[in-house]
Amino acid sequence: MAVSKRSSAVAVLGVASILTTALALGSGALAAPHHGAAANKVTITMWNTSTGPGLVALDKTVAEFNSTHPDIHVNNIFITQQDQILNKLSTALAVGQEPTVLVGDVPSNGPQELKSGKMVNLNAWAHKTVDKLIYPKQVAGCVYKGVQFCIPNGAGDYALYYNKTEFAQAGIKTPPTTWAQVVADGKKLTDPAKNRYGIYIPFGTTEWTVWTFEGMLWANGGQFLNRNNTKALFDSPAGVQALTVWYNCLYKDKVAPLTSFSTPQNSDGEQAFASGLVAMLIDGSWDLNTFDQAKVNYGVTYFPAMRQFATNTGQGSIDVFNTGAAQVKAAETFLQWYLQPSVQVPENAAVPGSMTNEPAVNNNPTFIKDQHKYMNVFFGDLKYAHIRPTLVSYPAISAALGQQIDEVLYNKETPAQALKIAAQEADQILKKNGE
Amino acid sequence: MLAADVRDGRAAAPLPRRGRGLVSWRMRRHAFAYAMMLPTFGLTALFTIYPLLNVLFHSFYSGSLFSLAHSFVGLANYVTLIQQGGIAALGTTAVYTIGFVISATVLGIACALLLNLPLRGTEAVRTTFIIPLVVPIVATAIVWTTLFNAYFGPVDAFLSFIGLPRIDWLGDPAMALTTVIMFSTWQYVGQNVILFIAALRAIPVEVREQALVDGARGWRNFWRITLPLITPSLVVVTVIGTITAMQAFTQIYIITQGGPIDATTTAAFYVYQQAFQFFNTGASDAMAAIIFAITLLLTLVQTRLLSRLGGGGIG
Amino acid sequence: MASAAATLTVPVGRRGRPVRWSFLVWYPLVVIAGFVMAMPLLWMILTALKTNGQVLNLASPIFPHPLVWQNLVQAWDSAPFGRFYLNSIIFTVSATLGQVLTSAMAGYAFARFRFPGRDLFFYLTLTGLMIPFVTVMVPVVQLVNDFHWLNTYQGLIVPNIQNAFGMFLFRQYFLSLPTEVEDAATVDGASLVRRFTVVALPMARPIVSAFALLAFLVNWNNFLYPLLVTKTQNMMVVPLGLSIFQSQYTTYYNLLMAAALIAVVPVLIVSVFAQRAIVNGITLGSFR
Repeated sequence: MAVSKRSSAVAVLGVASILTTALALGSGALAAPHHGAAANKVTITMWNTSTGPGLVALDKTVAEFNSTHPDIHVNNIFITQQDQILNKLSTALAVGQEPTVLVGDVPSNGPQELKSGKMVNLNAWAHKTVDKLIYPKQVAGCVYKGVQFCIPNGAGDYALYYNKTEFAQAGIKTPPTTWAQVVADGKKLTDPAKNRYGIYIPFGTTEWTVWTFEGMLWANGGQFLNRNNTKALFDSPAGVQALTVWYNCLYKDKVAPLTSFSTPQNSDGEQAFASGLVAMLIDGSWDLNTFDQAKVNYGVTYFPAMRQFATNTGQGSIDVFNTGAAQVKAAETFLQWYLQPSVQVPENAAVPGSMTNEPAVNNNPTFIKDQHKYMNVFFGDLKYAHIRPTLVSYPAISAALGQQIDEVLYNKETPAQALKIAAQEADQILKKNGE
Repeated sequence: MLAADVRDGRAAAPLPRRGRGLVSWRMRRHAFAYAMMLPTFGLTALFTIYPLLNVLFHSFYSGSLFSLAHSFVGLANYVTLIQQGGIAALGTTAVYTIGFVISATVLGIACALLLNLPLRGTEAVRTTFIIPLVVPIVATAIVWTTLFNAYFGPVDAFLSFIGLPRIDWLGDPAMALTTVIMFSTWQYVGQNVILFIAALRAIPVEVREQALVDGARGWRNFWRITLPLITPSLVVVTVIGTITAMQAFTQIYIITQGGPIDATTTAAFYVYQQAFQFFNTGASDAMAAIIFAITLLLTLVQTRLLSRLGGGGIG
Repeated sequence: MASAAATLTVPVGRRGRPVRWSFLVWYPLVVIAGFVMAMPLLWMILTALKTNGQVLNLASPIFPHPLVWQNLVQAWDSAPFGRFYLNSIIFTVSATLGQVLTSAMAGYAFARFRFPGRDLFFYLTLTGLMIPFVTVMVPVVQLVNDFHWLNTYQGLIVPNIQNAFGMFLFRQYFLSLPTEVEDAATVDGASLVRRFTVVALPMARPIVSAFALLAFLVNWNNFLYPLLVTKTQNMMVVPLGLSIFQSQYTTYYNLLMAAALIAVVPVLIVSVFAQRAIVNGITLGSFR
């Protein structure tokens, strides 16, 4: 028994751990980020959750700003994926480590984030500068109790993708314009034995399900909440009818697959359409590139109507946090530069399927030329778009409604029951929060 | 519990006492024990127990994710839990925990025995058991959803190939929890196998020799001899498996997001929902407190109960 | 001695000759077990070599055609993975070493000594495992911030130097270890410290190796804690790099799997050798 061998093993272990710790502490000191050398240079930290071509384009744009503005340095960091941002932001705010700018948040988080007291009230600055570049309805979506808490960044609505090959094979000449036609077409397209269905109904308890249901609701002339935002109105007969359309697609007409393709990041069911499982899909312009890559022969048409056309708009947002007067000023300078059309056009033209918040950009000939050929459908549908209410209660209402819609989609409740329960829960939430 | 100084009913041989007398010797032993335990306990106290107390405290306050304002609400958060699906979440957690602990432990022992045989391929196969531990869960969980996709997945393709009906593994609310348990078991069994193989190989040679000479075969050999000797590992595996199951979140988040409907919404997932979808940190802290209380209770019960199987004196 | 043990573990039939037929039963099970364990990794490799379009089209063939090796390059280039690797190595090695040492020490203390409050401290240490991390993350980050350790290596490592699971493991092991050898050493004049470092700890080598491997893997894949305590990319670890492929618009599954492979292959190779060493060490170690 080599006792000396074993004790020397322990010694090696001990020395190794000391060395590693020393290296770590030493490197820790070295790893401290440098701050700008110039005396008057203001450095601001900007977090983003962008990926793929969007990230590449953003990095390039920020680099351009930094090189043309010697007195400001924007430290652009990909911080994490979008669905982890609440984790990161809530802890950062709790310890005073928030960034000055956050790109990639959503307005629905805003009313809750305002409670931290660290968001900058953008009224004074944004009203005079960037707001006039943006669609008014979207600006309104960033205002809560008179305070503008974010700037819209990145927009989207949804329309109907359809598989041209499948349609041709089923002998359907034109894509559907109403939900009744969707069902009729669906019946011709559905063949369970061949793993083919008409349309994918969005399962999942995430915002996507509620967001698309709202389009159904509005298309049927229904309303989400009353004018004062004190009562839910989505359990009206119009709402019940709208949800029943989805239910029938699944269980009566049987033109939709019964399983969910939802992932933590998105629930639009892109895989179902890309795999040829369904011939129609409710989806936004961000997936134009996806289906090109999947080599699907598709077309796009407006989101089907019931009594009228409707769709929903959603957007990302840019938040500004109060990390110091000089930094907030620098952030405003940056954002004013960033949001001008001359910057937004090249940045977004490079990202397929990107829809911006600015009419000047979306109508710009260069942008249209460089963008995807089907973008015009999404832009056209935008004129029928409604927007969700910006309330503290919205996330909770949406979670409650999403759960109830799922109960219907899994055939556990009738549409009338589900919407009634959801409306009651929504009313309670509204009452508790004051709005 | 006379663990340290008693072994198998025999008292330890009296050790020479050093120092100036009885008191000094014992105090030196105590001091040594405290010192040895201090790094672990100290860091735990600072970085987990203190935050834990924080959570328990805040479970009696209202709060939201971004707000610094809290107000005392007594048991209101717990009432909210009961009214808003908390009981169902706890029920789902119970099913999940029992299913997972049993499968991971039993399969762990079974595979350890299997891979302990002197067959030619076992070393290579033993290596594959660490794959689930090495690969990031975000990748393996996504792969799992693809493998079990009801329309395109190879698992269902195989089932229909051998003539069995297809199963909607992830879409059927009745099946979804089972599929998640299967994933967690797959992910975790490698750890149990490593520990059980270590335990099996630590069984003294004489015991194995004796068993063979006595003609003990198969089951009796296992039940009467092997199992009691690997009980310490069994205790660890069961207790840690239970604790892990009570906390299970990431795989549920990636594979089913708590669905279909709430079929896979365990208590830990409920905690996440309350905090990040409803922004209600009061309710999420309350559920976390409940998870903690139940886990602590289970741990106490299991350590006492299971150690008795091994002949007492341990635990 | 080694060969004697090998013979003894072969099941012998009544007439003392190895029963080969039973191997026909066990062998297929072993193969199936290996396949079930390895299958998701194989699937990952196949996914990593496809275009994202092929991945999203679930009906596309299982084997990619052509093999898109470019994905590995593109994944590597998407984020500073070289730096992430360095940070991961520093963090994981330090944390694992710390966890092995502190767990062995604490486990030994709980197993061998009766001191006031022993059971209380034991269960209190375990309570660390019993609360969902998302609820304690704010107080934990606040603590780390109070020490001015955010975005530093010490902030990553120090709170992770303890491991209650490891402590439990070592405690069970030492409880089951007869005290004769340690007692003999004490009779020979060894101090308490030497009892631990020279006698008990080397005997615990199987558990040390097994736990070191398990702890290494857990620390390597730790995502949430590093996410919360790092602020700049030069301090991020490998799991955080995988986020860059997951977006709310579309997930680049092929690049994600490719990046996961880049993250995994070196660790897998190390683990394979480590595990082989563990098992061989265990076999040799049991002949005291």
